[in-house]
Amino acid sequence: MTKRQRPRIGLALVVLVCGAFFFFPLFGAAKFGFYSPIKGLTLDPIREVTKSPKFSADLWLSVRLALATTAASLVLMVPTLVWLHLKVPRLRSAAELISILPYVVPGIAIVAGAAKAFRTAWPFILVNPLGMIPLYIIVALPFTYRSLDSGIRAIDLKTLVEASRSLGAGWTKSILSVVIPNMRTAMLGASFLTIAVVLGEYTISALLLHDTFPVYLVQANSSSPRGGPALSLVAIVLTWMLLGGVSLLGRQRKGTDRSAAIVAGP
Amino acid sequence: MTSINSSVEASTDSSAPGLELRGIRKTFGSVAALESFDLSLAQGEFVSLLGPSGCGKTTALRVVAGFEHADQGSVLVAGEDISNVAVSKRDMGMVFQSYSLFPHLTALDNVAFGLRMRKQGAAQRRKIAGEMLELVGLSAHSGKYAHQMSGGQQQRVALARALAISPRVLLLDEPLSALDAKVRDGLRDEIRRIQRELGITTLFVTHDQEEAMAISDRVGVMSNGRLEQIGAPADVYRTPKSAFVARFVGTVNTLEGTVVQGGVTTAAGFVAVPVEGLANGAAVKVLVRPEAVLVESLGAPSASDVLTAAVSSLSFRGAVTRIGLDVRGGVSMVSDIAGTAAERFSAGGDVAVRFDPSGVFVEPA
Repeated sequence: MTKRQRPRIGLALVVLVCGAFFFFPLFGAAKFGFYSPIKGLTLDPIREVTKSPKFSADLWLSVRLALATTAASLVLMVPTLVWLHLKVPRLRSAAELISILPYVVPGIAIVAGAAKAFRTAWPFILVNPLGMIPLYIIVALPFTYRSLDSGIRAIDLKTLVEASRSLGAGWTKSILSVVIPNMRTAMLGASFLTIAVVLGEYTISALLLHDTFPVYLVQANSSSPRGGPALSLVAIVLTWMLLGGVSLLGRQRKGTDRSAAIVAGP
Repeated sequence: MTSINSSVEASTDSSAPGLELRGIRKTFGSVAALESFDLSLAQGEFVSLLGPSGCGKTTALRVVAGFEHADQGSVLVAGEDISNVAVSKRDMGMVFQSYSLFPHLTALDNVAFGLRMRKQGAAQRRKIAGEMLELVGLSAHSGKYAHQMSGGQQQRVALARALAISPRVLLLDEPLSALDAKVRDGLRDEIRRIQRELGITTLFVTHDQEEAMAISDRVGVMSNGRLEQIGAPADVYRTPKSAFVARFVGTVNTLEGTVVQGGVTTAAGFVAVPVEGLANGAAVKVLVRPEAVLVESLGAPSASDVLTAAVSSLSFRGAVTRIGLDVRGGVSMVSDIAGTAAERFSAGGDVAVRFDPSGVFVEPA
């Protein structure tokens, strides 16, 4: 065995062990959720848990929350990070530290804090499901920050923005016409992660008594022993498909954008 | 090209300088990057700011572009004070040191970007962008992205992009420094040709003295945020106002010594150089250009101003041969000899050395 082959075998071994660790529970859930000793492979458990009108309502709420959180995160974070990199780069390490706080502050503490702070001033945040968007933005912050920050570091932001401004673009135009098109991959990454976080977030919505998809999943687990795992598995697969679809869309858009000539534009 | 020329002419006042910086002071914390900085460029003039890293040349350029705001002083273009005008409204074409093409756009789209920001119609944008790419010789590459072009091509496109907006002033921030020597020389000549063709007032920043000398109408040598000297390249080279300028623009041999009647006594011996205005006994530095160090075979009629030296090295440099000399008293010098005259010398041989007064400067130590 050559020295070159050794790391490859080691890598394959790690991938195999991690893959097994990841896929065995999924396989177990699939077998338990979609296999009946009497009927064999069956979709009955999933039909049972999805026939309720509450299922589609809760799922739709989660999808809306995921999309709104993603949009709000990007609108807030992209200009903020551009400003941070261009105007106050010395604060980057402090901002990075702040961005990881949601990792260490549990969801229950965020909800307790929000309830204490907003109950009298802005009860909307606690009463209306869409009021969870700011909390979700905080929960997704470690992921969006890192993804966007790495995207900015990958381009020569200062030179590109200065070139754009010297050619007549203001700040907003520079961000829209130059920064965002060159951060597409990072923004897609941030979007994937935000969607995944919101579609899987349980603590905040459960504590604020909002019926989102994860809350429905937990309820389904208690009411339908086979339907719960089956629906969880379907949710995981659908999330993967969604992320894959967004990724594919991103690639196609990249190709379209490249051919969309400025000279032929409006 | 008429559209560009006419636009440049229309926006300028023919009696005022093309660009003027008056009493600019710019500090970063406690460090003064520019101090009482004055500079004036005639319309259509090409001026280079030359100096070592940290001398303030790029800061001066960025103040003109509007990326930095001066603490004091004003920037005028064709007589109009633009000190408080936003970057996007200054109409400055700028080419950056690092490759600055927008990666998501083709060469043509990059060139058209500034026109789009000015809300010009698609047909006009296409026409001008095409003309600009033709001007820099890249029409065939109009559909390429930055990653599909070489560094030289990218900088050509960046130049076309800067010119496409019919700038009132063209700012070049070391645009050639990332390129290899051959490409650099070619693009340097091309920049000059285009600048002359369009008659655009141009401020060029570089730390490469050869580049500055070759391309400019005037060269400004900067040190510690101040303009040490500005003038035609030949004047700055031949009559430097200070030892710093002499050293920075070209190569010099330095001899330390004391003023005596008719010259300077150095460790290498007596050197006959002009010492007007310097008192006898004053400590001075004698700066001698390599081409002013005249090397002759030993045995020629001796004179009081002839030094003896041993040839330590010969290095062929194309048009000239550089001879390393170990002069008496532990002084090392270099001499540039044009043509084939250096072939009669060999390493280790003894030679006589004299100085051509036109390439000698004396500075108080």
